Amino acid sequence: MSDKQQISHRRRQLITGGAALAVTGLGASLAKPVSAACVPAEEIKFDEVVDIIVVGSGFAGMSAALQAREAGASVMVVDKMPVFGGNSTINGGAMAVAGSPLQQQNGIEDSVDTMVADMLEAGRGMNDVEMLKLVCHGTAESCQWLTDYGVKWKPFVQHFGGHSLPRILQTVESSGAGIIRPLVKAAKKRGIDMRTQTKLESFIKDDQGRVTGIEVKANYFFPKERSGVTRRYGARKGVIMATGGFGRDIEYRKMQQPKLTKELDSTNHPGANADALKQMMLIGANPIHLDQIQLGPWASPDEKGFGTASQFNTIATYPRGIVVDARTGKRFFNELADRKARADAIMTRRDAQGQPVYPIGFTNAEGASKAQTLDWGLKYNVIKKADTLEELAEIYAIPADALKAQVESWNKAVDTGEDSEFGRPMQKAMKLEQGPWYAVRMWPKVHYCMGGVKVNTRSEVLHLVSYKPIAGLYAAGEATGGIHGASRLGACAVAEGVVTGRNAGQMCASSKSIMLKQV
Amino acid sequence: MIKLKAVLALTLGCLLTLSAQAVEVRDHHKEVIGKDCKTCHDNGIKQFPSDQSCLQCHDADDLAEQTARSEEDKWQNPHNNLHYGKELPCQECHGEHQPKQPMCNNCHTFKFDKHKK
Repeated sequence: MSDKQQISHRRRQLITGGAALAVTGLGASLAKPVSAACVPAEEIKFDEVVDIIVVGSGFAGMSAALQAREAGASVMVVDKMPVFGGNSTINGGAMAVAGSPLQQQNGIEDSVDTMVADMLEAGRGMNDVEMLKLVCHGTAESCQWLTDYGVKWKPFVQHFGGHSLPRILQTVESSGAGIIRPLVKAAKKRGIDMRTQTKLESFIKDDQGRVTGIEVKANYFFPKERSGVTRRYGARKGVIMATGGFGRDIEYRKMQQPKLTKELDSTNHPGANADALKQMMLIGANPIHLDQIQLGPWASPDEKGFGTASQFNTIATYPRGIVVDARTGKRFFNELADRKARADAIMTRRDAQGQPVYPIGFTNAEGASKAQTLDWGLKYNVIKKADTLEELAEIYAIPADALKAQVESWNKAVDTGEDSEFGRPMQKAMKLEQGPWYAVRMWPKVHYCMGGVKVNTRSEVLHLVSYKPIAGLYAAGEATGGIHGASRLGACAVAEGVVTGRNAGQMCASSKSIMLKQV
Repeated sequence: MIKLKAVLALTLGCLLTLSAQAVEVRDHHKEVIGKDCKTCHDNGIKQFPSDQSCLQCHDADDLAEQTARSEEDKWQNPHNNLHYGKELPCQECHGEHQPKQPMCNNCHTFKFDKHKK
């Protein structure tokens, strides 16, 4: 079972909650957060002290921890949830890699510049180009780094929406668990102190404004806010925030995007909220792009969370099938556009009362041959099978003649190599000629927060007013903002999390240590 | 005197009723543990216990074996699953004083017919 700190009842109870939260003089005069005055460093005594504390145990957190450990730092990873992995261990396990050996084997000529261009286009030009380049330059080497830690990839390169050519590698598990579990295992083996049920409450800073540690609730039982006991952990070199996004935080996401109400399910794990982001902002971190929140266009309303449809649609429907309006049987968007374009298009399918009319995505047995979740989707009645188009039309109440006409029209477009209606890239397009057919109802789910705190290329968190790094504070992964601009390309979160996590770990490990006192 | 006895009886009755409601316990645990709350409550009576309490008697590897599934559904084993392996804490799916649902059902529609809430 999970590693847990044995609570020592003999230790005296410390002052609670925000009392330890310190702020810079500048922050105090401008923001007046709920906090005590600064506490001189020599007066703070920590329950435990390590070189580096990583908050969060997803791709970014585990990459940061292992990279720092490789550099010789002592590392503690804390996660408020009862299990490690956050959203990372439940995601699709797909990583965009420019220049992978598998691409070379398949004669695919890719480049960092091409990947940068694709991500800039998807991001509507809003991306932080310096951070974007850092990520794209790091994917090939980080892919090898993951392989060295035991990650196993499928033997083919995939083409996801918005990418101009195939560059996606995916774990054999079709899940981020195929990355997280080897990394967690390696971390324990290498002496990284891994702690679940340990929730960040606030930062501890010295009188110079440097982050010197965190106050936590140990033995915390999410989401029971009154559980746990207060502890203080010191970090000589720094704290790395790898706390992910806030897709499950309905109140906060609605604040940024009013249309993201509770009507929309999320693919995220239950703990994906804005708590950690707020703590960073309270000590002056600069937020960026918080209103850029991505919906996953491959999700189905017939199951919860990410489910089975997401992988089926990503692998089968979108690259090798079509999506039609259930009322007309007609296509209405480019199925290989990026996520924002696809999700926005799907969300337009509503009736006169504004209620969703779920579009139907489908392909045939050939198109679905690589869809690993097809059997599960069928078993749990999320994906449905039909032997003929007439039968398919009947299942979903689509006009049969219109559906057949659309399929014929699509097949002509494949023959000519041009989708004159929606401009879909046709390199991988497939004619839909015979059953059986596999189909699913589609509706987007809240998936990824492009926004977060501003970091520089050393993964240091930048202050809202001074634009300088907040000393001792680093961040990586979905907790940061700017890299993806207005829309993240599929499979780029794994790439970004691993590359920026390693960057944060390396930079933090190479920073100077400060002296901290322990109880 | 009669009034006093009546008041005492009512008070005691309420207390007993309250007690009974507050500590629902599984039949099996009643048999094996009886009324010794501290057997499980290693963090104090008013705190959640640690998983070590469960593991005093239940072995994680044995459980994974008992709930193993056929190859196709192999990773749907609640005690050895794809995302968390064998490291999902017992209390995320099993509650002693209140029933709980399997954590997998936050995202999946798997069947867990033998789930002990």
